[in-house]
Amino acid sequence: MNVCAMRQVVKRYKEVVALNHFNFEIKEGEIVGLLGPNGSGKSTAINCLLGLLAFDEGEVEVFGRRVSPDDMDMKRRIGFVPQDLSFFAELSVIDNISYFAGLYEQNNAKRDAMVRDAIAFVGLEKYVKFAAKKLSGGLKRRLNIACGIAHRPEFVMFDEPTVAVDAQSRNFILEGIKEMNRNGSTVLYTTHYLEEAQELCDRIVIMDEGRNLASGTLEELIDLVDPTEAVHLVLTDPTEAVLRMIAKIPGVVNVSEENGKTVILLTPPGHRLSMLLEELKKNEIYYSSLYSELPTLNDVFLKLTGKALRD
Amino acid sequence: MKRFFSHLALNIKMTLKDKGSLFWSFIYPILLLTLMAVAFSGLQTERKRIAVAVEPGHPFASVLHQLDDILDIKDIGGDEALESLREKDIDGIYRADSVLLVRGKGMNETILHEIGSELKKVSSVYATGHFLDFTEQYVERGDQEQGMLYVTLSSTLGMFALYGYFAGINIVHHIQANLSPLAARLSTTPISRVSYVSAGIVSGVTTNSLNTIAFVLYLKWVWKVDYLADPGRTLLLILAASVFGISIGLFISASNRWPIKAKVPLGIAVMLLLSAASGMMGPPMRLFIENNLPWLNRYNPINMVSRTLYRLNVLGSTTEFTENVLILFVAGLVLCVASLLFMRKRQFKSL
Repeated sequence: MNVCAMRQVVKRYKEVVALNHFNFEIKEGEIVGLLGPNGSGKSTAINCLLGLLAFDEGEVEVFGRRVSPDDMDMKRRIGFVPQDLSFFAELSVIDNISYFAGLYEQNNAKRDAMVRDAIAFVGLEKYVKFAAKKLSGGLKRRLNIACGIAHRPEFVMFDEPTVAVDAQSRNFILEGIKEMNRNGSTVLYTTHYLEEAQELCDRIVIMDEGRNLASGTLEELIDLVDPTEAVHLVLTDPTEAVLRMIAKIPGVVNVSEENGKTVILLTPPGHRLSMLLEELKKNEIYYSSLYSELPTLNDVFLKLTGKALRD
Repeated sequence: MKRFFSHLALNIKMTLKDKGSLFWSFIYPILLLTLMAVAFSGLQTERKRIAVAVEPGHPFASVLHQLDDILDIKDIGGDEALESLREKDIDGIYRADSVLLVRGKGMNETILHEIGSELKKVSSVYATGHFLDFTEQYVERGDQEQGMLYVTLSSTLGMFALYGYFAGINIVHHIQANLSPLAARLSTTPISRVSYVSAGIVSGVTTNSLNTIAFVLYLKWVWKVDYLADPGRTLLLILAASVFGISIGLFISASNRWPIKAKVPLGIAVMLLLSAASGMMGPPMRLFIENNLPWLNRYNPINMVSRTLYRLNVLGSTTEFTENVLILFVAGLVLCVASLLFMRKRQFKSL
């Protein structure tokens, strides 16, 4: 079942088309990463899903219902962690989380339990009485998350929650999101950090200029744009005959020489290396060193969105 | 209702914990009032009675004679009075046709003008068929001080009474999604805007009224300047001013997308200008405005508050009290409704 779906959504800011017939959906229980360069339309897509932004064409659904800013039932079931730190800076950590949880839960005992869980979830136990404005950058990020997830939403949207966060805090946040997902929450996660998406997400959507360029698991995306694995060898006898012999091995799509090394491209990636090594041994082709390079999400991303600098 | 109290608690906590806002809404006014009290109380003690001619046949000559602790009345008229005015022996002439002639623009002329306008109001009551009881003091003074000190302090208090403007700006800034990231976030929650705004208004009006009352008490206890000669009406006026102040803040904030960094200085600048027009920098400015742009001060909310404060506590007059309080309350209500209409929009073209 789809938790949310956007179909042929068009959103224009005067002449600028922020979403250009954008299509996208998330199934229950998934962690979906929404990747794109700056200005690609990620935040616009999220704001349309949240019912904050009016769009010009298309359909946006959450929990099978058309998004409406007055749909309080829908709002109770979703959580949002914005990119900007959005809490009451003068209030303490516990007052902030308690206030946000109280918007969803009026029963004091239940709300207090939610607050306790949220504080433990983001590891802010030692800082509950601190004024939010006095926290460090990483702790503020954690508070920002706690305010968005304290009410245990079924569907949570994270809009670049780890911007300007150190590696330790980032790891803590990612582990927390995985745990939320294990506890039943569906997650939409936008980020600039491709390694985060690679580590966290079940499925990735790459968007640019308001369009969905590709979506799928990491393997599916790699297959889509660069289905090869590069094996770098230093051959003891790199003659023409040896290279011709290698080129005939099943799965090898190309053999070339680069800086004194032989580069063999295999397809499909991740499945042919052992077979290549067996064939080299069988044909008595010897080498002094070898390493294999699988394509990464970064390769896919740059191939799909281009290498030109963005604003 | 529970959520209303949760929003109310949030607003009160934020007000108490925000040291910046605490400074501007409480410490700064105390400092400014102190400065003004120090600057003008010296002038006050030296003030003499105001020499004024009252032409024989003036309809309120007997009332004017009752003000002998303010006015040094010369019962002269015609050329003799004009000569005295030219020679600066007197500051003004109450002519028999109810016209007030003054020599220039100053404190004394302002007081004469105030008294003259009070008498005109009484005269209009008379014209409608009511009989005047001249045994009653239409312009009571008791033991109150009057003069420049009161004019400037009244305007300053009038300005602070409208400081709810800033609370109004903040309320909308927290709840209208296209104004701040926090508002966008709150708009994704099942928050009730009406509940949030109502709690903000109650908190803002209460805080601002209490602040203004604290200023009044400070002036009374520390500087012996009494703005509680008519405490009931004065408190009602302060409440009405706070409601109006917060409502204008709501309206300015909800009706456009200017950043809060523009709306706050705009409020400060406009309030200073209106306070100056109302006499905060001294009576000559007020007199100038009343002579040249009378409509401005008639509907200048700070002048409405300061004039009513002055009349209630210095002249002991309730003239315009009901009218001004009603105008402030009704205008506040209208602005609140208009602001809620602006805020009803929940989906925006841009954030």
